Amino acid sequence: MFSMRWIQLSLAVLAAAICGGCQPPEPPKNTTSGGGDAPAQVAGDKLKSGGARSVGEPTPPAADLKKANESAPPAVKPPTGENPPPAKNDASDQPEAAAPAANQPTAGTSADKTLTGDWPMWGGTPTRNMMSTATGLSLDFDLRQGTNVVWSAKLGTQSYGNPVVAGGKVLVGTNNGAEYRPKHKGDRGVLLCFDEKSGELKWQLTREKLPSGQVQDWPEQGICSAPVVEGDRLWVVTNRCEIMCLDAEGFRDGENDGPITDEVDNEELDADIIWSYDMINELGVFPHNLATSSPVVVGDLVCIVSGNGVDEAHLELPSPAAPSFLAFHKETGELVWENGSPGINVLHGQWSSPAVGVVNGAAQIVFPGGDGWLYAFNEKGDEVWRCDLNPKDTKWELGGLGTRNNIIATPVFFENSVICAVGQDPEHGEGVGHMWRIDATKTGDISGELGEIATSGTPNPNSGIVWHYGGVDADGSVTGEPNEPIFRRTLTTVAVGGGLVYTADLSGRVHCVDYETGKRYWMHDLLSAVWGSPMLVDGKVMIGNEDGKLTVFKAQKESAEILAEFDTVGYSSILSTPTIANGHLFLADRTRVYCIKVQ
Amino acid sequence: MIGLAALVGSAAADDWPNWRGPMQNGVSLETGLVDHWSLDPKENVLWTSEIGGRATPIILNDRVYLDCRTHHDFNDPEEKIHCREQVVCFDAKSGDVVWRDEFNVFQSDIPAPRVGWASMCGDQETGNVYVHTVSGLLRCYSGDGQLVWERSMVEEYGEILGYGGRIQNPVVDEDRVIVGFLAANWGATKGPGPMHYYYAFDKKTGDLLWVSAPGVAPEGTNCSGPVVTVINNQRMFIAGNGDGGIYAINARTGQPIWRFDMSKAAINCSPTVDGNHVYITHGADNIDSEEFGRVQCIDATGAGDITKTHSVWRVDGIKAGFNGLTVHDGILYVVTDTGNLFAFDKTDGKQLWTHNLGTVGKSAPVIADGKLYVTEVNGKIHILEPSREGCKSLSVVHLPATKGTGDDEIYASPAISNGRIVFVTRDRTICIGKPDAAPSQNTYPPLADEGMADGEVATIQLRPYETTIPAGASQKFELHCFDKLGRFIKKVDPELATSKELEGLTISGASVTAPAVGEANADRDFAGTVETKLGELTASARIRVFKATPDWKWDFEGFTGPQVPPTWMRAFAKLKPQTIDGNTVMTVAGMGANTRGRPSHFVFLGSPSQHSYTIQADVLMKEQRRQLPNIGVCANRYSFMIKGPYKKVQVQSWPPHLRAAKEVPFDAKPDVWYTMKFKVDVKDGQANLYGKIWPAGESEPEAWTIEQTDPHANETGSPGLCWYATTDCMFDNVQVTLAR
Repeated sequence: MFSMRWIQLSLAVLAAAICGGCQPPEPPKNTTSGGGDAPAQVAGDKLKSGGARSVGEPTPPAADLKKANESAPPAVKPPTGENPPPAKNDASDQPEAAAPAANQPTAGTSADKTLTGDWPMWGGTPTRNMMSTATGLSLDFDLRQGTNVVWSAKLGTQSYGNPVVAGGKVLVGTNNGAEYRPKHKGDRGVLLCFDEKSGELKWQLTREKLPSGQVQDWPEQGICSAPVVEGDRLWVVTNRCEIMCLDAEGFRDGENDGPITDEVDNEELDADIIWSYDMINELGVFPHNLATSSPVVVGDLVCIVSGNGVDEAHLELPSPAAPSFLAFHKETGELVWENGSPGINVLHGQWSSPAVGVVNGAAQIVFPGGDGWLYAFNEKGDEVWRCDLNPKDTKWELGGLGTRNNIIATPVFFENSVICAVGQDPEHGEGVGHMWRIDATKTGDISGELGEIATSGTPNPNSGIVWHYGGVDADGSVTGEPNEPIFRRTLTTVAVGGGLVYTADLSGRVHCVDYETGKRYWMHDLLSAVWGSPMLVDGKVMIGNEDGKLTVFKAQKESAEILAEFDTVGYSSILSTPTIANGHLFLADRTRVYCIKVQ
Repeated sequence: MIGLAALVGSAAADDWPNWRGPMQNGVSLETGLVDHWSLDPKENVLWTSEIGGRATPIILNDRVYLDCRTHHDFNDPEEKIHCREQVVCFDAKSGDVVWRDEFNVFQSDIPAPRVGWASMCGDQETGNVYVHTVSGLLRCYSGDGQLVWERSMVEEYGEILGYGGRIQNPVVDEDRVIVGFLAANWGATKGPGPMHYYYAFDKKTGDLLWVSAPGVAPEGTNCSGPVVTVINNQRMFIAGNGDGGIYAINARTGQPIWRFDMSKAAINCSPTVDGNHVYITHGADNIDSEEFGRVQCIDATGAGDITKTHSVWRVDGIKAGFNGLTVHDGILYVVTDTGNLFAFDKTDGKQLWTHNLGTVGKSAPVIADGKLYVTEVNGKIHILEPSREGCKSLSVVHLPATKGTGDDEIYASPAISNGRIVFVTRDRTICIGKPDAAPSQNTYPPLADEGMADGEVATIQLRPYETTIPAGASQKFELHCFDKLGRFIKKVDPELATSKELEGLTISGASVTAPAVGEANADRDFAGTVETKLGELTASARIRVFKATPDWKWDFEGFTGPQVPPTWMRAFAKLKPQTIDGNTVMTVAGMGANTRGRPSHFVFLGSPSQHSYTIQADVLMKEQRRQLPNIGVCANRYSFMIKGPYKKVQVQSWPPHLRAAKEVPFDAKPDVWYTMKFKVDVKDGQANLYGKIWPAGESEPEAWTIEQTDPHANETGSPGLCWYATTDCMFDNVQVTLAR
């Protein structure tokens, strides 16, 4: 209907308008040009390497580098199969891609990555990019017939946790619907650990519900946090707003690792808790409805969003002195630093998770704030930048009517950029959404606009906005329908690769957007809500929906080409993200996790 | 009685007197209805209004009634003071507003966008209409907009309102209006946990007839719309419960008939009756399977717990948590939460087909003239032509928001009357139809015949079942007698006896009299029951009497165990006596490992009709876990609170929006007793609020700490205590001084 050229033009105009007349959208200096498979940076790689950086970039403070070096190993599992090998390793074309490879001959190579193929945390790596490097993906499987389903196991009755695969184990947060542990009946928060090969239950972490009920621990929603695994340790946030360090082997290694050795649940199939930090009792955190953050490890730190949120009248924070962003020592559980941003401006809950990237050689931990801003910190807990992910003229309104949104999705680091979109509690409906690519090399307030919230903003001379995707299509040039939202509220974390950004909104519309420009290539309506995230793997994009369908698109900008569709048994909703690890697809629907042979 | 039953069972005109229509099942007998329409260009649109809402409208005598919020922008500091709830009456022919009644939202966590989710209901006998407001008022209006009576169910019965805005619509049956809600109040029903109660009121007077709590501890607030039917000569009121089950109770007495347990969460979907079968869905965890959601057909002829014995068929894994179902021509239609329309064979549950409506479904389908009218939340209105084989789309209209961007959200189901189909969306009301449509003359079948009462009295009830008796006033009670199926037999004057708690009240025959000022016991509170017998049968009624003297004071000395003042509403287990250094105070336990439920709470000390009083209390906050609580007192439905974490004191009336709010800095220290004093003067519809706080024991300052005016006064309201207990907090020396 409209020529691509026209769409490009109008989007550029829109992006410029959002930037508020500042300089035309200018990507960070080190970017891939579109088209090639662009490798994401892995924090661990960079930390190990001492911080690779490209010519022409400012040198990070030496102290930071030193700290990064010291704290690195075994910080983040080095290359674990989630980062794409540089398919076209052409330095002139892809400066950023070339740099790490040059500095790290053993890390970041394709051969190394296929040795292990684990997916040891939400997003696979600290960058949280929903991309797998697996190749040769076969779509010859059928969940209903059981074709190539190696095993499947019962989860609870509601599973929002995303499968994590590491060290021969599969970990999924869920509720107690399966009642694997006979002594625990009824509603509980549960983290299940299965054997990767057989699906046998190795152990289960079981947490009782908070007595405050749905105010702080919503019934039957279980543990939503996806753990991060490092060797024989893993960290997870429970429904009781605790962060716990667990022994990945459980009690099955014949040991009760401490300092916590007096677990109430201490049989072979129970979880071996190493340390636990109760954020409610220690810090006064008031989790709104549920604490759900998926931890990330950087150096010796394990970082999470506390979940501190508003009261049940949704008016204000009952606990304004409680922190939002936390860094613990991963071995001891000691609180290393805390940060109170965004203070009393939290709009609703804080359900998202931090991501880690290396920007010009220095690690950044970016936390999604409950005020709809991203906050980036260095490892010492000093703020590097902050960025408002809503246009200034948006308003938060109770009950979902408003235009200012929260951040439910997890930010993704890619090269020196962060990509993230905004959304709200699905119960609030399907309002207008916004997705942003942010230049993470900037410092300070790098929002596109300055000014009071809910007023017309003024252009920010220090804007870090590379592009904005979303808002309303006033003239219909993008969507074909005037005043149609280009992008709606989302819970989805993006997948970036091949010069393209894949995401979906809660309304079930899958979007393919140019990584360089934020221009829409295509949008496909699945006609069913999407809660999870796309998985970019082997030239394909897999995404599940609420109607229990897994749709596989061809990863291309030309059109939304569906390669295959798979229904779950009983059309059980897929609220999680397909996980690819070690030649298998691990797919959790509301009630089961499937291990499917795909290589 | 027979004539009345016939009238209620059959709609004389083609009204849409409740949200599911004349047969309570989403089916209309009208014909000649439009199969397509458009706003632009305008086609088959009779009228539109900028007044929108969330509830399905009702249509009675060619008038459309809707409960919704006023149009004011609660984000605009200037307009917020005018944000209120309203009942709107439109002329169904023209869309003109015939009358409109605005009233305040108060002491409710429900935010403005969710105001008016429960539909109203209408009484075809009297032309009166009923609304259950988001502040827990049950209001009866005449067709011309006169307020006939009102109950404040939060202040009088301890109704619990949640943020979700899930409020049950009232139902008119014969001479009753019945409404359900969660509550904990006083006496035998003091809690600590709430129960899901059904309250039946005399539809003409608002007198309470009976209260029934057929379920177990609820999982949450709910909004399942009840239906009334007659099965095996028994008049049944059937509804989904906050405990996750479906219950049938006798519609005339409230006696439980059967329960069918389904879900681990509260039921928000509404049942539909077809013959002896009840169809219902839910959208949460099943109690007995790992699948989520269910479509259920129940054989409603059983008694007791019929969960395992009376399932006709079920289909698990269908998540349909908010809708109502429609049965027509052997097909059961279900709208799922995910925006799909399912058709099942009603006899065996065999799935016939599905049709995608969009992504979110929260309304009930309506069938008329061979067409299905269905709304989807994200602005879509479908007209479909269904058959056993499939479903043909006749028309889809997608409504964008008229204010702001995105879709115009639709939670309401369509209503049909006299050729007109009315859709309520968030931003507007739209009436479609043919301009020349003649009034319909359909006869709707009455409910099945109940037969004659068998003469043997099986159930007796004292009425009113619960009341407060003002100082010096008398209350006469009647004893109503029913047979074992709840069929009315006779009404007699009872001989009353009191419980120990009411000794001191004057009882004479069927009447109870409260002491007047100057009489013995005028300085006492009473809360208890009167009882009567008829043969082996017993019945009781609940009475509260507040002190007749103008000075109410509680210093809590001598209070022990879990004791609270007997007349206080919702105080039990929330307030506990604690003796510190020989002084007994009332302590609220802050949120912690052993404190259940929400940290926010109101306790009501008197009657909702009170005004012109001053409330005073000593309060103390504890600091724990970096946290401080909010604590304060209430008058006329306004709160005056210390906001511990924010070092302020505040007055306000509607917590989510801080309507009529004002704050002033006040650095109240933990572990220090403060005296708070609060009064509300109402003059010419405006409220003047005066709050004062000072360290307890020091002399009272002259000046008020905080003053505020509200142009939309809460004219009356019970004195109360309020808090947000993130940590422990305490009350002592609570006083209410009535102006005389």
